[in-house]
Amino acid sequence: MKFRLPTSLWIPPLLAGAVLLVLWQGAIVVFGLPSYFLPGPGDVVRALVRERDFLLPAALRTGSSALVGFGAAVAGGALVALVLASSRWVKAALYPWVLVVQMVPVVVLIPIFVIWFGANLASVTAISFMISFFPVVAGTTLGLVSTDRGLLELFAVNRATKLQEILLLRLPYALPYFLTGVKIAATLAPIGAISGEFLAGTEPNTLGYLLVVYRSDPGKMPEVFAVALVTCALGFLFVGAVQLLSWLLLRRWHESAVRAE
Amino acid sequence: MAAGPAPAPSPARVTIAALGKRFETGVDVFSGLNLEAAPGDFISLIGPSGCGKTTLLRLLAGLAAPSSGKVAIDDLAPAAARDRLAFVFQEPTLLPWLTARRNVELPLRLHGEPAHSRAVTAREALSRVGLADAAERYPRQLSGGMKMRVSLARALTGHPSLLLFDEPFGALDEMTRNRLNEDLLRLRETAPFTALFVTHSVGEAVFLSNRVVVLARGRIAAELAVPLPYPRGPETRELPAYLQLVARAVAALRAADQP
Repeated sequence: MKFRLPTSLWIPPLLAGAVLLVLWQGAIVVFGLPSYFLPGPGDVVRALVRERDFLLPAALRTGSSALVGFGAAVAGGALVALVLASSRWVKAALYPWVLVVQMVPVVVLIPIFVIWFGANLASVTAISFMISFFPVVAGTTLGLVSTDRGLLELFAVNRATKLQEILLLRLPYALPYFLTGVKIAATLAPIGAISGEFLAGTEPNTLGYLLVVYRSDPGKMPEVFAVALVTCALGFLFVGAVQLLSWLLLRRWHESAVRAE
Repeated sequence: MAAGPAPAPSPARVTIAALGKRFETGVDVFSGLNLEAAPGDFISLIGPSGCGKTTLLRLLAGLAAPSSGKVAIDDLAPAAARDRLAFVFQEPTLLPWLTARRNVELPLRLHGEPAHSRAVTAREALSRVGLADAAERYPRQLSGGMKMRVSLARALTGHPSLLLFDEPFGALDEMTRNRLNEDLLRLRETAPFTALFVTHSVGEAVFLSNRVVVLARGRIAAELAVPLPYPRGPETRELPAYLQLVARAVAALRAADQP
């Protein structure tokens, strides 16, 4: 079974993208907007090429922080979900507190992490972790507690142990839910990393740091847009990797993957 | 054939004595129900919705506990007799991420059977239900009837001495249901078991069983012996005796449903 992106999935977004580019450039021409207010698509591409020696290493560094935070969020989120799903009482007692932690805004977390870990990549990774942790917990917990009652009874009639029930039934059943959570986390992890770098004022050679540098110069607006573009690309890379993993794991049996074929 | 769990020595005896079951809502499903199934009996349970047919099967499978009275399989409590029974649910209850063969293997896998021997047993069970060629297909690639055959094959792998059927063919079209009924009786000839079969189809009940029990309001409202000889096939459904029994069962069901 080969992975083939259906044309209905890539032609419409490409066409819409082309229309948006035309509208973007058209707005600049029609309203006479200066480059320091809204650079044109060409300006952004030129900035991207011009600053590539800074942007590429920065993307790698930011991507690494996001990847570590994301990995920790996936592993930690899945573990917490297992604990939450272990009993109704545990879930009732702990889930609201997981929500409370999620409610704390990043701008509040950043100074706390900077005090705890210093203004370095550890803080950035921690922020990336915090921002992408909850979707994994929420998705996986939902999956673990939604196991089909008939299947649970099948396991009960066949005298399955609790461990067999978890490994052979609850975990595979929760897999699509878990992957949905991971997909959302993948979009958030790079955002968390760049926000952390921007607000915590961390080391140079990161996208967040470049953003701080570029925004201080009004003539560098195309570069700011170039950073946005690179961040988007980073996000797409994360989501694409998760999408591929999801396809590999679900392609044979889950309706979502089967329909995408 | 590779060794599965030890084959059951003989079909089971089922004893239900003075059975009472009260739901958490305070509703009494049964109060003082008595029913005895002799080894090899094929008993169909019919009755209006909500009369307790499924609850009775769940009590026998140990999925629910009686509030009073006794339920026993070969004089053992259901929890102690689980290796003697198999349950065929209303839905095929197949794990969608496993192939048909691996679904059939599941009970053996849960009992710690080695991979190779359980694969052989599962293939053999699948060929008995006519699905040898579909062993490596996933449930989504199977029709409703094929899924139910897989479910049946899975139930048979453990050589149960008691099979509990909770309206397994209810969602199938009549042709498929009839064919599965015939297959079920054919399978029973080679591996005898006692059966309790819940259905809403009077024709199916009469075709399969040697006894039809009509349940209503938590008690046995009527019982009908079906003296048609086994083996039974499609021609059985055309016999006047069969048609008369169906008519009697329908009348008993209608009488039981009267307030």
